[in-house]
Amino acid sequence: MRMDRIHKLGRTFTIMALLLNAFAMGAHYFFLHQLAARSSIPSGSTVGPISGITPDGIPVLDATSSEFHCHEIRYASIHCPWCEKDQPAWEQFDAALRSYGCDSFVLAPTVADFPKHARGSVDQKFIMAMPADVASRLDLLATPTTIVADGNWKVIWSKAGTLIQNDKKEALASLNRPR
Amino acid sequence: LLISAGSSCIGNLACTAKVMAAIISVPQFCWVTSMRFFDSLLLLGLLYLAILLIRLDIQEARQLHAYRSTQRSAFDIPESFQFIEGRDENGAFISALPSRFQRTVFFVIHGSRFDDDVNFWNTARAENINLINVGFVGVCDRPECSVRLMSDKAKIHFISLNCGDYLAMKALLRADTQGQVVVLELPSGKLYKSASPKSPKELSALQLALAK
Repeated sequence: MRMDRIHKLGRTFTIMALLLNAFAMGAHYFFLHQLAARSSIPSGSTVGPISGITPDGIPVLDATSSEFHCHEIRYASIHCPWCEKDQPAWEQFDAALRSYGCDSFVLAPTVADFPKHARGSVDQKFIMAMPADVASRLDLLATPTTIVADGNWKVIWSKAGTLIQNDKKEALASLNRPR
Repeated sequence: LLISAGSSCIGNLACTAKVMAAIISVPQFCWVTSMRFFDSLLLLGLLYLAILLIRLDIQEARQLHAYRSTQRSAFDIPESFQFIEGRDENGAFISALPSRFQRTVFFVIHGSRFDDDVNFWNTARAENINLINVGFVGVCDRPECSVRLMSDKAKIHFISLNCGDYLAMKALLRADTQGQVVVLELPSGKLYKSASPKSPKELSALQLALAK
């Protein structure tokens, strides 16, 4: 009789433990999904065209970027330790995308967050100041953030946080994917 | 025990038979006991796994909560413009904000009601003309508005910005969506938000606050 009760109790506990595990796994999946969705800019959202002023005071107009069939946006700060750590990976990423035919835009929270001697080129622009409509299209919450957009400025790949080796491949694959 | 007993009576048929009979009668008890042992182990394992998963869930929930509050409060704190490009009250290009004002009001000019906004802030500027230490700075929310601001520069009696730092722009736009303007106090550099005036009465209240 006593053994029977222990047996029943054991069975009840096992079922409860299984249910608890199923619930905890479900919650884990939900949180992971939510966090992953928030660690990037939603694909398909429009982030440009980007215009503004370079460190030399040269205006970057919307039309300046129309000759490029993809665009890369980097949001970073010299005061952010993660950005410094990420710099070599980003330089490789940037070089790969620019050799693919993209132009790149470097943005920062304030002018004090740009490197002191930041100088751009035809396919790399440091945007020190921007109009309100450009700022309103961009929801950049954390440095470093890297975004790759197609020729129509629709986001096709993005990452909030440091880059890893595979990101370059993924971003290039996203560019090659038919849309 | 049974196996050792069995090995000790090798050659003794009667002894072996007894041991065999004992072995045959025991297995049910043995199996039930070992199964219960494994059941208990399985239960403990499941509970341990559940504890691990729940700890992970709590960590992730905290992360998500922190991220959501960051998103909600992002750009809520006003930021000062460190790098700008715009025009002063006389239509001349400026690349820095004038430092002569003790208080500067930053507001958004909405392209959808350009004339109303410009008239309203022109009035605000005209009524504060004696308060030489109060400045008014407007920022257009869309390109068409900026184009009009350039073409109608003779009609604009306040400072207008074409471009500014990203964070300061976002904070100003955020304040505007909350029905507020941003006020900069110099030389302290203190920034705060104030309700955006919508009527002459509210404008008088703001003027009174600025004159203090």
